Amino acid sequence: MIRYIIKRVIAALITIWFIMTLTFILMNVIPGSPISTDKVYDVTLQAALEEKYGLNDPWYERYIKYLVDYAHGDFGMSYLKVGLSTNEIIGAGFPYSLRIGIYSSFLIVIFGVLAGILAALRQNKLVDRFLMVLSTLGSTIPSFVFATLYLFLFSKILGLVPAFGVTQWKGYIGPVLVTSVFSMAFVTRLMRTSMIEELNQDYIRTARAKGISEFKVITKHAMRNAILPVVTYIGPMVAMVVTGSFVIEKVFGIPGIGSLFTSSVLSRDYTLIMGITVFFAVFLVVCTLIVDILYVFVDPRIKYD
Amino acid sequence: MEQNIPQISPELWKPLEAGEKDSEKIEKPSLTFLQDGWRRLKKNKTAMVSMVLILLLILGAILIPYFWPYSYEEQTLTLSNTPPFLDIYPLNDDANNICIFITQSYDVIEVTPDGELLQLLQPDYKDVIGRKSTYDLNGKQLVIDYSLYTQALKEYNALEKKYGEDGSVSATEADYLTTYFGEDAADTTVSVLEAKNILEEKIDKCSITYDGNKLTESKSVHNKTFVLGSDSLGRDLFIRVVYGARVSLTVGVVAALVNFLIGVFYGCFSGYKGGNVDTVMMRIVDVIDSVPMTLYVILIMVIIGSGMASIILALGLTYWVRMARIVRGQVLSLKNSEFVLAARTLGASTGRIFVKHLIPNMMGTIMVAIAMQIPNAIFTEAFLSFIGLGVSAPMASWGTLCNDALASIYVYPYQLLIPAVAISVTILALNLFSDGLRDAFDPKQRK
Repeated sequence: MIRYIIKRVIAALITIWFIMTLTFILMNVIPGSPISTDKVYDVTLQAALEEKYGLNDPWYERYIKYLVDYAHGDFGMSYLKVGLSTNEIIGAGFPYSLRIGIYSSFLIVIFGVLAGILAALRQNKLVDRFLMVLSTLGSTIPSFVFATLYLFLFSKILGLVPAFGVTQWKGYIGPVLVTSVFSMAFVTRLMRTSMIEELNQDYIRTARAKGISEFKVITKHAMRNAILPVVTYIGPMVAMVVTGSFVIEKVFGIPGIGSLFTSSVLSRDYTLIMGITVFFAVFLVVCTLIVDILYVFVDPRIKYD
Repeated sequence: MEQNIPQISPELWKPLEAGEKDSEKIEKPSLTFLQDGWRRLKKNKTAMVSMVLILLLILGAILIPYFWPYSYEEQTLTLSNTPPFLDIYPLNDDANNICIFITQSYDVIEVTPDGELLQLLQPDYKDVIGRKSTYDLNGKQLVIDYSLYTQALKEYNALEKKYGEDGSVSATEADYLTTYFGEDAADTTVSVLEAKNILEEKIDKCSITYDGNKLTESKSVHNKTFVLGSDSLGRDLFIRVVYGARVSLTVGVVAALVNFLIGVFYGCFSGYKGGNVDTVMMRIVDVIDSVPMTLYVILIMVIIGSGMASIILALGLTYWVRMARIVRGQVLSLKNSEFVLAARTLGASTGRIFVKHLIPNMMGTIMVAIAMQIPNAIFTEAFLSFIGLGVSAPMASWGTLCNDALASIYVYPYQLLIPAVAISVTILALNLFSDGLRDAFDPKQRK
């Protein structure tokens, strides 16, 4: 057990190192210095700036400095947002994204699991068909279309929610819903499939034969086993929520880390891009790690060595 | 001996009749793997409908630009933002026999009765502050007064200030309500919310006076010049959506092929070598897989700049991971089977074993994986284009079309709706088709 956890942690560290190196390589193969791009600076000023950002050093020195700095949690200064460090920028945006992410994750798991169970219990009936059509639509329509349609309907026509920002609680409804749709559709399908599979097992028949109430059969026996695939999906789900935030925060005008990433990519703020990429990567790897470790406790059938 | 010969009667030496001869034959024709899968696929109606839809889409995307009168970048700035359906006002008298269409920005476009856009009319007097413009049409005067809405809005704002959002008002208190309710105005009370609704939805936002008479009768016709309307630069939306289909399909197919080549090669090599090579190669795949592809794609796009070629390159470089896993799994299970052993015993080289024996055996799985990857690639392209990393202007893709429409979504919703429907229908068709393909060619994977 402990060996398994140690192995997973080492694998996670290697993944993070790989991503950091890859990001470093990618950001360094771009020709030219990031400072000399658009504006014509004074030559001495440019030299001073290059000195300040350490751009004159050979690549291996910069690479080591980069690894050491990042290991200490120092992501460097933003090139374009003068005077702000990447840490401060991420720190300002992350709470919004995290809040939306957490609400969405709860919505996805709770609603997805319930809808999946309902569909499985009413297999091939009207409710099931309806939920399956919804789930197909949910995984077919791009999130930016959902987001704009939502704004058009609820903000423009009905006037129920603000069109922009998250200053009121109502502002969270849209982003959370839209972020959840795709994964919710997937979880519903997943839960339905595994629930149907479990309901056909012998132990369910035994439980029913013993005279246990149907409610207990479903919640205590079938659901507990059927939910396992959903637990494994939590890792990819976090990834979906993170990448979804790029678009959703743009459409809803939320100053979160996703829109920050998009804008830094568009404005070529290299330190910020590197910082956010590594931040995302670490976040995802840690989430996956937690899920992997939790899985051992959730599913005792699987032996780890 | 001689006694035995006559026992075989002469009839027995006759040849059999044709029908009797084939009685030992196996009736069912033997089917190849592809024929068998195709037979199963044909039974799946959803998959067939999706396939026809996809084929139509491909044909349309290839052929339509050759005979369509507009190109994707041709701008007609005077005819910008025309919707697919026009509300036109016919002017029928001795001086003029034309129809006019009032745009959302209160310009006047001359239209034929069946909906062909002719030209933007130039006002001979435009009072911007008074919100009124005057046109001279063969000596008769056309007046567009679009101050009504602003006037009503001003009145409404006064009401809201006075009564708050939840209050109620008497219809006589605002001129626009009085006009709207007509004779009943004196004893009508409405809530402020209702008053707002009337302001936004019910009242005429502009008045059109022609030759001293107010024009009220309008009819709705289909836009004949631009079938699906035009965008903010007066470009034909239909042909832009068609070009969007070209971009999306190209990206989908090329990305799938590239990832097929890399993924199959990587997976075959890893699975066939086995041992430490396999472990290291699969660890690399695990590492790459633990971070969302979109992140890598965006990073690669940052470096090589945006554009079609870079999207394909970025997708090709990152999307092969799943394919590599699938192929490796297949190779592992197939490489110890008898036919591979037989081939090796006969002296076939490793390359020949792969090309002639292993890959044909994995074709079903590979095809299904490719079919599932195509909608993914299209999705990612739309996503990237939407956040501004996709194809660059004036080229159109569904993602950029949606993004362009975003700014004016409240005024011209059709500009978003059309590309959005295009993406959704395409992805839906591709998804359903790949599900059908999976059921037909790879029944083991069925969920």
